[in-house]
Amino acid sequence: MVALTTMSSAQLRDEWRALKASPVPLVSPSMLRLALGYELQAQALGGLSRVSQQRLTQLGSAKTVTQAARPGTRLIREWNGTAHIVTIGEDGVIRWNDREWRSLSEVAREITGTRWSGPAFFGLKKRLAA
Amino acid sequence: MNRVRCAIYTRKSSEEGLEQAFNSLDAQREACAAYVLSQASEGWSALPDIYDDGGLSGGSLERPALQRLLADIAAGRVDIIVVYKVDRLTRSLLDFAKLVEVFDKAGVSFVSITQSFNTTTSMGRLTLNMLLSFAQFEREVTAERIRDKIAASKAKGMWMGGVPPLGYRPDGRTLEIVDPHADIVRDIYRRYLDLGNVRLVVDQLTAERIHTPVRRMANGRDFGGCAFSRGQIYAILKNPIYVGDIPHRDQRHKGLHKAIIGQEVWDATQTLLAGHVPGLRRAANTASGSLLAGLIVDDTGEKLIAAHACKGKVRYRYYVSHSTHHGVSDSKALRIPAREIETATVEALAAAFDDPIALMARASIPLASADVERIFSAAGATAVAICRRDPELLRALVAKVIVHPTMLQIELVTAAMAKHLSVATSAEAEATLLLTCPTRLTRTGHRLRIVQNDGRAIAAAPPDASMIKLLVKAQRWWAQLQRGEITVQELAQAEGVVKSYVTRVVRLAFLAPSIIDDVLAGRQPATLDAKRLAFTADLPTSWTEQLRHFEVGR
Repeated sequence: MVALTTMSSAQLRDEWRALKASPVPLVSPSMLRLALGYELQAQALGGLSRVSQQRLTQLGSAKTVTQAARPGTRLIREWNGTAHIVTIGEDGVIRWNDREWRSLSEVAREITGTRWSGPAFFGLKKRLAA
Repeated sequence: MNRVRCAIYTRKSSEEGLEQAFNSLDAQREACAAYVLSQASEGWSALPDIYDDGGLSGGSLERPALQRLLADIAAGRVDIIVVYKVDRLTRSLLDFAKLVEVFDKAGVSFVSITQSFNTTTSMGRLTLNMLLSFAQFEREVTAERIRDKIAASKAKGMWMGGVPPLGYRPDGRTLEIVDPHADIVRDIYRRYLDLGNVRLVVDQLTAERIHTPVRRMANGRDFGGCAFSRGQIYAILKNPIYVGDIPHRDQRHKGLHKAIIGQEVWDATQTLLAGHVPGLRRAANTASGSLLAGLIVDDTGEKLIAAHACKGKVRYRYYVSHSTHHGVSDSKALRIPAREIETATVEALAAAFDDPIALMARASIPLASADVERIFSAAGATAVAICRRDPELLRALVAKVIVHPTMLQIELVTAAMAKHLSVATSAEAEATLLLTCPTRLTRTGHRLRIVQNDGRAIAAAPPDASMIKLLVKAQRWWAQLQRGEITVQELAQAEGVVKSYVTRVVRLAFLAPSIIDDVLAGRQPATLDAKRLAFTADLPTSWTEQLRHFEVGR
């Protein structure tokens, strides 16, 4: 990280090739330095969380919007004539059928037998008007 | 022989005859002086000071000479007050009792030269009280008579005095039209019917420099010559004098004077005005109204007004200093986002109800141990209703919200609190309890924010759309640049923006993940906004330095 500040343009490009194995972006050395700094820190400390990445992608495409299931929420979905009630505990744990689940999508798969987006299945994900 | 200092007090109600060289006041004083002289053998001598109240009623003690006399009595310069008749001093029993008390304290007695009685005996005091009762009766009857006369005169359509409304001048017992002024009045009615809005009328008049004409009052003072105020316009639009009537309390009589405006114009104006009467305070009966309307003040006691601005379909609500709202700008004026301060208030209140026992102790309400469980459940239910922002409940509980630069104070109505905890208040309980909530006001740009002491915004605000837009844009542009196929210049051209903007925005793709998480969740510090993100001069590479730079997670 410290070395980045003193590297020349060529050195920065070499560093990028070594790190990413992809073509060097056509940007200024200072921008490249920022990008390299980000990559190094992301490797060491972990980058943007999956949830945040998904959220940014969703916001970028602006086609759907997903509401987070907040603690204390009860989600009700009718499927094949049965109403399924999923509760999100105050601790954020998803409970259904007297069991804890890791995600709403798992619950949706259990109910329908096919892969569903949990938020979509339970009505948390809405299509935005075009 | 002791010298007895006598002060002669004279009074006359009406001004009639006061201009004469020898008037009633002189006559009273002369008679009193003669009496004092007759008592010279007792050591009486009149003071040179003259205590004359000409043209002042005996109904009040607010008379300059009497006040001067009382001051001299207090200073011990007077031994006896000499009056012509007792009712010269006062006609009111209550005031008389007050005066006697003052006299007794100073060891001063008083003498009425034409009514001889001795107030040192019970019989003398009875006589005096009877006399004063009649004096007061006389005064009240006179007042009634005058009131009846005014009512009867107005029923006949007479003008009974006072400042005449714009457009008229007094003409004996009626009014005469002053043509240039009447034109202004007609013009105001016409404008109001055109615009249907008093504020716009005022704006127009001000813009066209149409001012109130300069008029002269009966005492020779001039007034007018300034811009019309909204209140004046309302007064003109509602004054039935202009349609030829004389108002008396809630009645209207046909006046003797000529009307300035026609009946149909009057009717149309009144219909329009009636249709614009403000409704009930919204806060009590709508979900989205301003909860604290009418309750919130700043630390100097100036009221903050609930105001809003609309951008498209979005309504931005604020509480704004009264002076700012009415166009007087001031550097100390406040403009606080409504939701933030409402949230702070609601949270502080709900937190207070979490510990109802402490609340009751502070209000010195006694606690019966059998009630504890019931009180806790009632407090819990109340706290839930508070968090739901039940407007009626909040307006009952909160007497006042005071915004200080470093804290928020909430005056909690003790009686309402006791009612919701279903306990009885005690006699020694204060009417209100002061809850304090440590928040501070921060300015970001021109905006004033209310933040918690750790710098985070009060309301877990919905994420800032403009900041997120920037982040999304940064990610998208960096993804394009990262392929190494396009230069910043080409990208800027394709997007229709300048190159430096692309550079500034793309840098945001390298923000520390925790900053992006905070922005996505609306948890960023109140000082961080889209402008600050995009215009930061040198974005540090290191994430820890970025956090420090944007004061995230302090």
